[in-house]
Amino acid sequence: MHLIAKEFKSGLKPFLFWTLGLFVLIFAGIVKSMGAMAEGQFMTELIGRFPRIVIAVMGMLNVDISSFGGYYAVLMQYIFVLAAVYASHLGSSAVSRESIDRTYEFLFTKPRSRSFILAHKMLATMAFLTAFSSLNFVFSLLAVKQLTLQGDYSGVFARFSLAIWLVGIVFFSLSAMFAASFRAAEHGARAGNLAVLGAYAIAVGYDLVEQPGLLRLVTPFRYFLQTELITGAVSPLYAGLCLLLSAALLAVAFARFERRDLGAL
Amino acid sequence: MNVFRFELRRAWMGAAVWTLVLIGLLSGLITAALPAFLESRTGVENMLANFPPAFAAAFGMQMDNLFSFAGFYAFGFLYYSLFGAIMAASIGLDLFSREKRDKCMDFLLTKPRARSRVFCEKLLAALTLILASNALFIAASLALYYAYAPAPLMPERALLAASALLLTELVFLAIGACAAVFARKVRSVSGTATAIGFGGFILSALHSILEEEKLRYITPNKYFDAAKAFFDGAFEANYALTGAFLTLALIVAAYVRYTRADIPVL
Repeated sequence: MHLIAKEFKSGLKPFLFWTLGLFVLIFAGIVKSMGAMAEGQFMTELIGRFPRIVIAVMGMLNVDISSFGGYYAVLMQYIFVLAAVYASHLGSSAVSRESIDRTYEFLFTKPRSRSFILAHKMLATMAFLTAFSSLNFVFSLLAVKQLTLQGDYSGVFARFSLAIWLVGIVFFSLSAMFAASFRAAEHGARAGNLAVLGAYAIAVGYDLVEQPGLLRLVTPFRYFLQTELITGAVSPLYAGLCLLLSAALLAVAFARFERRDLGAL
Repeated sequence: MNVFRFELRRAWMGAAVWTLVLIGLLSGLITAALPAFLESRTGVENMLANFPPAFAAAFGMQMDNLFSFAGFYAFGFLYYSLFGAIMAASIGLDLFSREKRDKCMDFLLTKPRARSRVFCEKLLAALTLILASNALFIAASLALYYAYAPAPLMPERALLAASALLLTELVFLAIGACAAVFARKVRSVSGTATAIGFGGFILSALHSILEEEKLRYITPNKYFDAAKAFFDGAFEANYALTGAFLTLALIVAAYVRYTRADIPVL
């Protein structure tokens, strides 16, 4: 328990920083949404008939600003990116923070196995990620109260928050795996960050082409399509894939971490 | 010039890879998607012909701008500037936090070189990398412009639009350098640089959705607008000046801090 308490303490400041970003983005986005939605209906209908690439270039792809749900989905696109960058930071710092701070000799000579220590660190960081996506839900509810909107959006908010958490744990586990696999801590962190950037680039490519096919499987940013999240439920298939992927990646991370040279920088 | 040479040797590889990725992204987007994009114009025009004439006229105004090399380049600029911002921020962070990260500040600062000299050499190395990278990027942009843009060509405007990336990167270099100098500890260069780059990207996206003019003053990716450079032949002065001023202010702040700050306890 000491470990978890210690991790909470050291992770709190970055967490507050990231939630501040989340807060500003959601409040600025939602409170200002009325103006953007005003001319939405006609434009959305018109733009729906354009070829896909033209819409993308006009910056109107996936933008259905005629309804609040559609507008919220656009906003959430960026929260997904924010969450992925944060999750990747959490994953790599859970694994290699002690190596970077050169405190590993202190911690890993304690009578606890490496896996025990890593598991506790990951539990603590996972709690930050969970809090981040829960706060997304809370902030959205609070922000939407500032508007006079008909209807109940808590279901939409909950689905998006769950999807953010699921995508977050994939990037979290991926970065943890990279951090445990590379000899130098900086190389591991870089691989994790490049994975986020690459996944985002593939997501943009997915939007550009008419028939993406298997491209969807490659980028977690498109596991949960906004149209599905607004209308229906979180796709159980892709939710399962997220859980399975992160379980596999974490297993590799633990196996690698047991054997790695902690002091290698 | 030892520091300059050392920093160049250490950082040129990363910058070279980023430059290749940027040029690949640019040429990939333009060669693969631009022809299809320009072709789809007739389809859109046929569709618009069914609408009331007043509406079609209003839309037609934008059509020439939209369906051009410039319109497409400006679309891609959102992503080039994301990549460029991460590259520039990571160069700034990397160079100016190197001794802090490796805990060898005392080694460097006991050498018979003034701190101001060390700072200037590091800055020069960073600028060299960014300028070299952008020289290649601009050359690639112009080559693609000559190859793909329909007549009439306006190379001086294309040059200005392509240099928007250079100017944006300079802002991010200053942000990265300042962050490196002021931070108590830099744990991961790539992590911080990614956060800064995506931060700018999200701000610019937020600005596009909200269309709130004030927001643009804190959005580095939009200080230098490639589309404006293409269509008007100039950047908007107030934003460009904001960018220039911000860059200078951050560099000066970093300089003052670097030359005076206590060396952190190891």
